Amino acid sequence: MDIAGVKAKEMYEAGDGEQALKVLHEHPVDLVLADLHMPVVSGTELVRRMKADPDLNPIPVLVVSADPDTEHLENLQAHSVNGYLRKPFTPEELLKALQPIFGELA
Amino acid sequence: MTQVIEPTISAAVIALAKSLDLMAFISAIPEEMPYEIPAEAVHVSIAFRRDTAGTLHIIAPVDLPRAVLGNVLAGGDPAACSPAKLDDAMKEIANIACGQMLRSIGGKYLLDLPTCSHVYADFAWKTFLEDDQTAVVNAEGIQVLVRVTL
Repeated sequence: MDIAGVKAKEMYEAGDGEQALKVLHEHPVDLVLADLHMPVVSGTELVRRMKADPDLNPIPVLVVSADPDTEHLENLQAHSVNGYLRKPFTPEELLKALQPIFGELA
Repeated sequence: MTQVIEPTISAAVIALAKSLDLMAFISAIPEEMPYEIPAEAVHVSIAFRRDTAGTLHIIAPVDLPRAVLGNVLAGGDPAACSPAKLDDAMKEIANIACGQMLRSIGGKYLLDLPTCSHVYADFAWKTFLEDDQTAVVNAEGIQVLVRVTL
């Protein structure tokens, strides 16, 4: 899987936050890219549960959202997530958001 | 006191065109009526609230999410995509277009989750098409209906 020119070995999809937690407990991952607005368990709640779980806490999280204002995204970042991206974002913007987490990638 | 600018159909059309371009390199331009009513279409709507409450509606034949996925998958086969994937693509289009539309007019807004349904010939097309807050966009040959309700 090629994401913005970066080769990802495996990518798992989840339709909502609850599915995402299930996937995270079944598969070790290096990064979570979570939409803020998801059914069942929202992105905000997913991050909260991940941060409260010692197994999932160390996994970096990038939050994405199409919300017109970024106030709550900035609050999330201040507390727990590694970055946020406003949808739609370009591959370059994704790479830029990944660099503080993984260093130079491409 | 800050004046609240309400979203208009022009803002919605521009936002949809920009979103399709950024998401999937699909160019979209406003088109004059008439709109060719499809036998089956996907209707996605997303509500917004706070400074003003309203809903953005997008109705398109399934060709639209298929075209979006075809471009996003870059070589993947959109025909192999499940109906759920196609619905997800429509929801993503609505989510991004609504965010773009509200960003373009400024103010504070919260978006709800988009909802998607399949509509048929007995859908209330007349109501939609007679509303002056409805427009038609031509997305590389695919006619897309856009409507803003406040």
